[in-house]
Amino acid sequence: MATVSRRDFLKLTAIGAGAIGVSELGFDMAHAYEVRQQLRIAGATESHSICPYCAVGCSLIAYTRKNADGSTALLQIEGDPDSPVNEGRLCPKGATAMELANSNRRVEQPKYRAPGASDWQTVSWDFVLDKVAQHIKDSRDRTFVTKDHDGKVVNRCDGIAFAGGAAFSNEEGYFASKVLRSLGLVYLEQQARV
Amino acid sequence: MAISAAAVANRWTQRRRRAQELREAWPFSAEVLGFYGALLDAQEAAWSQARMDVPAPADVISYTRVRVLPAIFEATVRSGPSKLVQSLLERYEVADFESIAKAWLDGNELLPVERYIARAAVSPVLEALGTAAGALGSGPRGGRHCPSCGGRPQLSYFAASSEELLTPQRYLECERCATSWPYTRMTCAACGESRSMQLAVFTEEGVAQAGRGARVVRRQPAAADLGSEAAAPEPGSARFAHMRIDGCRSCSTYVLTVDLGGNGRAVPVVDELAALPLDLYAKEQGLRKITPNLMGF
Repeated sequence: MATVSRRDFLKLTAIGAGAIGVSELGFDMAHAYEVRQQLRIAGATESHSICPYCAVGCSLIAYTRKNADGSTALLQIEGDPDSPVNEGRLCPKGATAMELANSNRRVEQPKYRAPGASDWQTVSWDFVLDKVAQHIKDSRDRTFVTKDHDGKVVNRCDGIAFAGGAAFSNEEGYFASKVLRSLGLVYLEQQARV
Repeated sequence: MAISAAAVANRWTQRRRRAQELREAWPFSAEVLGFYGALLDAQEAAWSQARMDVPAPADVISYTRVRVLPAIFEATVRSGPSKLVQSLLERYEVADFESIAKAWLDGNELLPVERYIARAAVSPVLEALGTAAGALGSGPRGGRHCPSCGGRPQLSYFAASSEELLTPQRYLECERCATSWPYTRMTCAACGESRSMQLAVFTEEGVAQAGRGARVVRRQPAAADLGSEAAAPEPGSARFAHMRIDGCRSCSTYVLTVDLGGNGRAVPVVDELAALPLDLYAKEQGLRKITPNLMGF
């Protein structure tokens, strides 16, 4: 005769209970099953990140979800309470970190306001890059200093300053510094220290 | 910081109040909460008596058998589901209680009815003893186990936040003595897994983390959450807006988390008992709860 161990009995009890819609202790689960069928539940993943905005380096928790088309949607960002840096807190700017990715007011095309004009017009990236390059060249040519007052060769550009964005990564900051130093700029400031 | 006797006593009032609220707001859990409400009277009386008697840790099981078990048994027979009552009356001998209670405290596998009777009777005594209950129960202390008695986490909750831009600490609550202790938010409470790809958060769509597309900060409990009308969700809103399932793919377990910032009237132990549809969903995902709650879910 086949014997049923205590462990097998426990398993059979649990499976049998579910099959007839009554819980292990005898609660009627029919209504709860109905509600379960109506529920729309979504899965999300929590990931660690770091606020890009300043040198404090506050820890963030980012909630993301995979969409059906394979893309990843960013759902929410909040402070990480387990971080010794910010203990769950964010400043008002850091609390809007999600807007970097999700804001529906984000400007997605370059805008140009001509000298003397009052309105912005949408222009192409080629137009903007050419315009910026031309202004940089003009300013550099006009203000480039080859020798200082003592006659020492300095080859620097005093007419342009550069302020790196707070959302720069280390790599972007490094690249910007190299390019701008190559033009002779000496007034460089970055906030990309995280 | 010592918790005052009045604050601790208030726990029972809060549990009773929340059970009544959810019984009306969530009809699918009315049977469970109706029984739980009836049991609370016996458990609170046991808790009050144990605070006066202060049994020695070594005597807790025999004390419970003599002073607590009869009232728990009587409340169960009077108000419990027929299957539980029948099982208790047919198969259960009072003489078995001490060995069952010891097995429960040692974390051994028990039949659902055994687990129920041990927990329903012993836990209010452990709760009354507080840190003195630490001498009971086996297993490690701290981390994924109760720092006091070594019990496993029954649930997890996020404390209410005092500031809009502050994400509060996560806590685990003990299955045995209801002690709460802080625990890392993004770590499995059963196996310690911390790789985010192995950890899944399931929430009802539309309101909680998975659907807070337009929100960038936590909100403080709204005034309405603290009022008497907060128990019932608004039409079209999610029932479980303040709850989520924290699942782990590495050990296939889950724990329900209650966000007290999302509902200022929630009482974690009651909301966890009542969220039956979330338990059903988690089981469909192949997950099992770290430890079944008092009502076996």
